[in-house]
Amino acid sequence: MYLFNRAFAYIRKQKAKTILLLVLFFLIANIVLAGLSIQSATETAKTLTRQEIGADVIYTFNTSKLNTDFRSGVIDPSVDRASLEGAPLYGNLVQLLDSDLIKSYDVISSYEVTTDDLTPYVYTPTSTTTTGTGTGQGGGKSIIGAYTSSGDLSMRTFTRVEPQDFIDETSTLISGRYANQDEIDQGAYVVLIEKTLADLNKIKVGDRLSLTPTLDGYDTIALDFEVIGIYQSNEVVDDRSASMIGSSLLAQNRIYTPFRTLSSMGYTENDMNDVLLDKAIITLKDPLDVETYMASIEGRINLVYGNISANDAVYEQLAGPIETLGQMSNVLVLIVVIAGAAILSLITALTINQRKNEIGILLAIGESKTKIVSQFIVEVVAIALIAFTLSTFSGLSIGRMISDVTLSSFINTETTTVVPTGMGGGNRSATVTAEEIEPVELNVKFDPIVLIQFFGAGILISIISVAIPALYVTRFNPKQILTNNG
Amino acid sequence: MSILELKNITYGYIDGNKKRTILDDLSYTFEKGKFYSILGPSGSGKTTLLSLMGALEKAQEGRIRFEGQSLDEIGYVKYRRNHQSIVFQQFNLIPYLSGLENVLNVMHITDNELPQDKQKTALNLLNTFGIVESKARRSISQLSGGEQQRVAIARALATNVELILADEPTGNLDTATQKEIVAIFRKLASDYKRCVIVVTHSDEVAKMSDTQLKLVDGKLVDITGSLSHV
Repeated sequence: MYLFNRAFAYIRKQKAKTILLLVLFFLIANIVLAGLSIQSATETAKTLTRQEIGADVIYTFNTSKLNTDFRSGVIDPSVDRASLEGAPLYGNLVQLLDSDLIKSYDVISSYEVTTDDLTPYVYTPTSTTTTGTGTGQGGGKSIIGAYTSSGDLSMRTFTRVEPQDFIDETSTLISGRYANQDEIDQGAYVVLIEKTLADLNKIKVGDRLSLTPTLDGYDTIALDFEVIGIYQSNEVVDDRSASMIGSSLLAQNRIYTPFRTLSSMGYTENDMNDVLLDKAIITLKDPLDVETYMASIEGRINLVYGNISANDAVYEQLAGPIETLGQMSNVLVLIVVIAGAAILSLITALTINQRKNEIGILLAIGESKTKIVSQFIVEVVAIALIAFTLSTFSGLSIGRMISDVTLSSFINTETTTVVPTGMGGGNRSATVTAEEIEPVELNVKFDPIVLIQFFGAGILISIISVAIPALYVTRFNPKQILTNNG
Repeated sequence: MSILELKNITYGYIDGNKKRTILDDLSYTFEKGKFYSILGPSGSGKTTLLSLMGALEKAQEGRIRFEGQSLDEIGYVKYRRNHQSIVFQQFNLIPYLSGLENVLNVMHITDNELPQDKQKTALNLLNTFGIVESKARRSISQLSGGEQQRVAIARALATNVELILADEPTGNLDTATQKEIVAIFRKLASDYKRCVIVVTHSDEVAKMSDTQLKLVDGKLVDITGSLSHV
């Protein structure tokens, strides 16, 4: 088709117009490609960040609301926390477990035990030795990691083979084994005890311990537990905190046992549903399902004093700046595309207006309107393709530069904190901290999908910007066009 | 044998508040193998008539038939592409194509059967009109007015059409070249049995045609042989 010959002859001969259009396309393409590349990189970075943070959803008390309402007198500090709406009760947790997205979950609750078989570990500070007598609120024989101590040791429950504390490396198994799933499901009387406690009492794997829970109605029953494993606690000891709390709240005096031991000792299903948890960790199969899962459980529990989060604060801290950059690049791309299309349309409309005589001649010698418009489209698309190809490389460099400069001004500095031990069994609404996560790099790179989208959209805009004015002109008859331009 | 029949053609336009009729119920039949000239004062409608015959626009009333078929039946685009060609007063060549490319352009547009080697045919045709290959490959802007007109005439003849229309084709040429061009038109009519219709102001050109027509009050009047009285 000779229209291609005409198109390329025009591009060759009309150098000034060709260069003008090439420069315009090149500039627009660079900014759009930079923006699209940044968008693509931010999406990948957000996904990787989510995967790094993991798939845990934590159900715990909303401690900030709790404290606020205590201070303002909305609720009495002596209130039974299990009665508060949305409190992390086992019965509430069960409502969150109905989902195919869940891989496993861990139920963490605490209660204290007394025993004649073990001498508790007593904290010895560097300068003075104190015994933990404990102070706090109420008699506290309830199942809660409270700031009280009326027992010698504390029992911390779990519902999965590797308890959360061991996944988080708060504790490390050094001998023996974890409980198996059957023991967990059946509430077998098995325990893991801390190395310091074990060494103090010359306890080894396989030994048996008689432990009496300090629970209302069960405080006279001595239960026979088997030691199946010995672990080492990795919690950092804060001298001031450790010296203030009772011995049962020290990490060394913590004993792990399956949650269902409560059933074994006589708790009914209703009693189980009323058990107040320190927290529950729900681990999803895929970290990327977090948002879907959170949407699916919305409204199942009235969370007045409860809190369900997916390490959101950590995610926001790490991914927040990336997300902001992504949003900025979206806006940039939109503005440039609209402005670029408008400028391009204006230039092509003016160019076609100048070529009305040529259009009239072509119509007069029998060329079809379709081929005339196609010729103009070929001209613009050929120039656009050259500009887009050149901008493929420069656009990425610009994208990297923009993201480096912009991102560094968003990211906050991080501070390290010491995690105190035994303060209520840990009501943290996170299973990770920002310090623990290696920041994901924003990698602005060659992405074939982005390039295809970019080329496709660019070519489409080019075609529309030239076709509309060309079709407008060709609707006149040749004499009208030639007469008006003669 | 008739090739182009104009029947009751009427064409006018609005001038201020008045309707001005340029062609008024015009009827005429043109024949193959003849060289026609159309004369008339400026504004008499000669170019308009040529535009209608070339299907550059439609008559407001009346019918034009080409070889017995109306232009509506043939299709205006197809008619312009395959059955007629126009030599314009202003040449109307494509400015960014060379002379050779302008001729090749129409040869590729037409559906008419043409020799396989279009480039060779085009160069021969241009050479016939004194445009050698080196000039033919130059940009149009590098050719003189006379050379551009020769290219335009070569373009009109390149597609092997039966009807050739020309609007003041010799207006920008010197006398010698005028005579050359007119001689070519005569030959096309007599030897190649084409119908050649030329709109002209020049009596000299008109005298060389087989039939001289004049546009009078919107109608064509045959004035063959009476040019001394024009």
